[in-house]
Amino acid sequence: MSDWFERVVESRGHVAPRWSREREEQIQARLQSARQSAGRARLAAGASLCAIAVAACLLFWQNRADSHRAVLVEHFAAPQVPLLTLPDGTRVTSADSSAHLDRVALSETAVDLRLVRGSAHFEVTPNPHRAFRVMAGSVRVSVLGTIFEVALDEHTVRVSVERGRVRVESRNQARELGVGQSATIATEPDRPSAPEPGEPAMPHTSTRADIGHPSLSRPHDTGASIPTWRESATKGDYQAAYGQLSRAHFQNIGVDPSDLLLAADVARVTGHPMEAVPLLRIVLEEHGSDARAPLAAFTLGRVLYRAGRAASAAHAFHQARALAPRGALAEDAWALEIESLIRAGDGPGAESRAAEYLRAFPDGHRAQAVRKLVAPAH
Amino acid sequence: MMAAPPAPAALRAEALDPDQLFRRHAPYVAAIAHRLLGRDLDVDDTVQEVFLVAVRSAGTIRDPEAVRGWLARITVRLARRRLRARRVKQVLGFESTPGYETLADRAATPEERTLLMQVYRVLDRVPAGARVAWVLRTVEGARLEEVAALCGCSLATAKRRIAEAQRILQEALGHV
Repeated sequence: MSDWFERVVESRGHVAPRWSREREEQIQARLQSARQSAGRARLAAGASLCAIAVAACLLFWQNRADSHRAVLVEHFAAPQVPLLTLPDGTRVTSADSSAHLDRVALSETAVDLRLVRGSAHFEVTPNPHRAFRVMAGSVRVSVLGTIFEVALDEHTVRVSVERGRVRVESRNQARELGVGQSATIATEPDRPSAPEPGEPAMPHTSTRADIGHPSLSRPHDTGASIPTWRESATKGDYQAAYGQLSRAHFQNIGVDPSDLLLAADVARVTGHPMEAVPLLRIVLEEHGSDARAPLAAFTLGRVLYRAGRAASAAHAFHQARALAPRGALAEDAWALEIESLIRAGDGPGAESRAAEYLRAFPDGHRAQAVRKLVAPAH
Repeated sequence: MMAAPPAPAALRAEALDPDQLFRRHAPYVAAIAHRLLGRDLDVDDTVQEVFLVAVRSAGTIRDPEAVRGWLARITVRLARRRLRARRVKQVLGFESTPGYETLADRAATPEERTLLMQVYRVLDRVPAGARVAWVLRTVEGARLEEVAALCGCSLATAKRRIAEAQRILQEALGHV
C-alpha cells in the first residue's frame, strides 16, 4: 500500500470538526427558526383546506399569514438548500427544488444576484451602506434589509415580503412593497439592454464571487458588455472574447440561444470546453424547441465524451437524435451514443442501440462503423 | 463504565423529539459532514439541513435504535448533493477552491495537516459519488457493506467508486 495512504489512515482521527457548545447552539437556533416557519406554513395550508366550511377562519389566517403562505408553504414542501451565505448573516436559500441563483457581483457596497429559475428565499441583514439587488427576468428587486421571496416562472415574477421593504422595478413601473405585501409582474426574457446613443460603454470590471473585491457590474450593465465579447468572437478573435467573458464570469451573455452557442464555441475553441457545458445545457433546457437545440446536444455530447464522462455523453447524443430523428446529425449522434455507452461500460445498452440503428439505417453511412463497434460483444 | 442503553420507549421519544434528536446526534452528524465536506460553513449548513429533513420524517421512524444510521444516510445524501454543486461552481469560477485550513483538528502535527489538506484538494477533482465512498471507507473507517448502505448503492458499485477515487489520488499523490 502506498506510503501516503498509510499515513492518511494513521492520521484520519484528526479529521474532525472543531465542535463547541456555541457552534451547536447557533445551529440549533437557526434550525428552530426554520422549523417555526415551516410550522406556520403547515397551519396555513390546513386552514386553506377548511376555507369553504369555515370562511371566518380562512379570513383570519389570510390576514395573519398571507405574507407568509407563499413563502412558507414552499419551505415546508421542499428542503431548503443554501444558495448564498454572507459573513454578516445574510442568507439565500432555495424555496423550491428548481431554484438556481447566479452571483453577478459581491462586494462590501453591493450584492447583485440573478435568479435564473425557480424560487429563492432571502434573509438580508440590514446594511444601509450596501445595496442588495436581485434580478429575475426583467424585474429588479432592491432591498436594504429584509426577508422576502422571489419566484420566477416562464412569464411572471412574484415578490413576497415577510419583513422590511423592497423596491421592485420592471421596464414600465416601480413600486415598493412592505410587510405582508406581494406583487406579481409579467416579465420578459432576460435581454441585454443596449447603451443609449452617446452613452459611453461601461468599463469592464471583474465579477469574482468573493466578498471584498471592488464592485462590479450592475445587472443592467450586462447590455453594454455584450457587444464587446460578441464582436470579438464574430471577428474570430476568440481569445479576446474568452477574456471578456471570463472576466465577467460569463454573466454578460444573456439568454438568447445564438449568444449561448457562440459563447460555448468561444469556451471550446480557447481550450475551456467544460465551461461550455452549462451554456449548452441552458440552450437545451430553456430553448429545447429551437432549431439549433440538436446541435447544442450534439456538441455537449462531444465535450462530455472528450472529458471522459461517457455516460453523460451518451445521454446528450441520445437527446440530439431525439430532438431531430431525421436531422443531419442523427446518424452521427446515434453512432456516438453507442460508442459512449460502450466506453461507459454499458455493453447491453450499446448493443440495443446498435440494433435499433441498423434497423432504422441498414445502409446508413455509419452502419459499418456501428457493426464494428458491437461486433466483439456478439 | 458505559451507561445502559436507553429503554425502547425512551428511544422512541427521543427519536421523535426534535430538540433531543439534535442534542444527542448533532456532533455525530457534524463529524460525518466534516469528513465529507471539509469546510466549516458547509458543515453547519448541512447539519441544519439534515435535522430539518429528519424532523419532517421523524414520524416514519420504525426502529428508533436505527436513528444514527438513518441520520448518517441523510447526511451522506445531502453532502453529496452539496459536493456536486460545489464542483459546478468551481468549474465556472463562482467559488474559490477551499483551502481546508480547518480540516484537521488542533492535535494534528503540521505534516499530518499538510497531507490531509493535499488529499482533500485532490478529492475536489474526484466525482462526488466516488469521493463520498472513498472518504467513508478510508477516513470514516466504514466497512464496505456500510459504505454501500450509506451511499444507497450496491457493494460492487461502492467498490468501483472507491477504486476510482483511489486511482485519482494515487496518480496525484503517489510521489508524496
